[in-house]
Amino acid sequence: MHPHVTIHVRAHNHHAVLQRILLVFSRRRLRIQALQFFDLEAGRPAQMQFDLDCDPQHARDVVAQLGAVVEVVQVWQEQLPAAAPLAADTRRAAA
Amino acid sequence: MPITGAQALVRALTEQGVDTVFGYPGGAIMPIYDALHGARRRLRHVLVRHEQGAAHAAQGYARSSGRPGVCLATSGPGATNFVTGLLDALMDSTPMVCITGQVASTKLGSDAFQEADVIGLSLAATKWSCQVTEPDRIAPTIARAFQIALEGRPGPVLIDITRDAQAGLTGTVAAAAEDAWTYAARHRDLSGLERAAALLDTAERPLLMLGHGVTLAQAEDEALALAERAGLPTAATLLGLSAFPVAHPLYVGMLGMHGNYAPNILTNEADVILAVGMRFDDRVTGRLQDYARGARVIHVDVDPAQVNRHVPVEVALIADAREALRALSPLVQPRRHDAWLARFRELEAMEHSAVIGPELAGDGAAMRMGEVVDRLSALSAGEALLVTDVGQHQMIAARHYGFARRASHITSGGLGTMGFALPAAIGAALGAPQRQVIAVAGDGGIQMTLQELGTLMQEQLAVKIIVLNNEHLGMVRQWQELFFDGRLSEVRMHNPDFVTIARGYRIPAESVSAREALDDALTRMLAHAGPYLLEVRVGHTDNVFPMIPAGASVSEVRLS
Repeated sequence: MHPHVTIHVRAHNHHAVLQRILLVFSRRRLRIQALQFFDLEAGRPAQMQFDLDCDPQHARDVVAQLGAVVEVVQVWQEQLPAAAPLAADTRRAAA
Repeated sequence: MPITGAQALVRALTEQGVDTVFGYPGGAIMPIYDALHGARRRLRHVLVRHEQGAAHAAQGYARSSGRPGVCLATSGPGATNFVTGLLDALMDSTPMVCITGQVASTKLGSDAFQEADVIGLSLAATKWSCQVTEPDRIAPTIARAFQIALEGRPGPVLIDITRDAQAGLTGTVAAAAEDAWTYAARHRDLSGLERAAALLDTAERPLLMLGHGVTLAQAEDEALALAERAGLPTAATLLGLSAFPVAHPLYVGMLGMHGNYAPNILTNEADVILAVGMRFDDRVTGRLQDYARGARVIHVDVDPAQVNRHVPVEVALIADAREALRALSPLVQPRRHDAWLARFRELEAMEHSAVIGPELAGDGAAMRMGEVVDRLSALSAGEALLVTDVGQHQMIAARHYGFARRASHITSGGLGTMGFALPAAIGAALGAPQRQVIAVAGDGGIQMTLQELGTLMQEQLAVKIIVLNNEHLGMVRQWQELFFDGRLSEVRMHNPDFVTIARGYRIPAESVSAREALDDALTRMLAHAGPYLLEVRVGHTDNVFPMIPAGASVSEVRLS
């Protein structure tokens, strides 16, 4: 099981920027599990947060490639260890 | 006084120093073509025969001149025909500004005639793309486009301009780039210089690898100076060819799948690798798990995304190759590595006796591609700018042409686009009018963009075209022979008469199949003042060796 990774991106919310950013993930066949997008203040970069389980090397490559997207101002990642099964899943497995 | 958005575009282009654009008109870009009509004295428009040709010509122009190539197309199919050229330019770090017309902004998303989501189509094939719907935004967007195309790792950008933005009036003609993009400046990092120098000082078996970034940064002098100071055996990638003089005693050949035997084998014996302006492409590394395991790698690249992407790096120098090598050279101790260099020469002799010698011996019934390129190299004194297509002839040209001048090799490396050579050579001839430009193509690739003979005829550029005709898709045939038990599937080409076709375009042409006639034919071609096509009929069953089989290690390179 791959560790859980959160990738944070700050980017100017120009036309089609989100699509260009998503392409970096889709090209590596990474499945985004949660996506949050905030563009709350005019003239300031939008903030995006992508949550996914993925190979740490893939995550590093994605972060490096996102850094090369013209509109991206900042990108960084947080990594958590592979998640233990949730209590409900454990119970279901026992049953 | 207000001018139209289209006129603002033309003015913005000329302010960027653009003197040549490649394109094909159509409905959604007519205001721009109208503006071009009024600017013919300042801006040369080259009318291609297909938009893919415009994109490749712009690539050739960019790579021969060092300035961004510019191409124009209409909406819909015009724009979609650009896509191969865009991706080719992205893979090979070629600065290009592509401009497409688009339906009026009020019709966007309505499936209007010749409407296509060009921005959506371009996202995976460009460094940046932008749709302009207001005339006031045209000039600043063009300024930004040029900045982005050139900055850091160069690449293609696409500007999609709606018809109403082209036709509307604007007073904004100042071309200052807004929101300057400073990716390379932000990531520049030369803090590892001293560690890099220390690694080179203590190396016993160092290897210098030069990639396209050396040519892009015009860092050939710096690479040569460092190699000579530190006594570094020096190899080049396919796109790094001509960055280092082939005849230099430290030059050890080309890396990669069909590169030279010695640098491939000895990559896995090197203890320090200094890789400059290259991205460790899979064609260079072979099986990654075994690649350069004994080497401590110093990677010089302007793009931090390339560092540690494929090969673990001990020291990364993130900067333009010229800047990094200039800073590194004085820190390195003068050294010689004669015994190590002698290892390269031993393996080179093996390659010569097993492959190169027989290839050039001229004793078979049919001519071999290597003989043709060898004679071309001799008769042009290695001075030509070679533009090659994709396939066996590409590898043979890379292996046998004795590049004597820098920036003399243009090919489609990353994407491997058949059909690249002819239009790219047209662009290269316009970007470097002082150079002798020779396109070398196979019988398969030349037919993919053969219609660009029309462009050549119209422009009367002195591009020479050599078609190495083996009546097969040779590289695919080679793989079928070696790896698919000889089952030749759909690789036999029944070809037209290339000479008649060229003459139909009023381009002088001849065909040669006898070895004894080759030199005279090449001499006639080189001496001709205008465009010329020479078909050389070669053997059908030649294979390109050495070869690293797909998935094998570089040290498993085969000589037969």
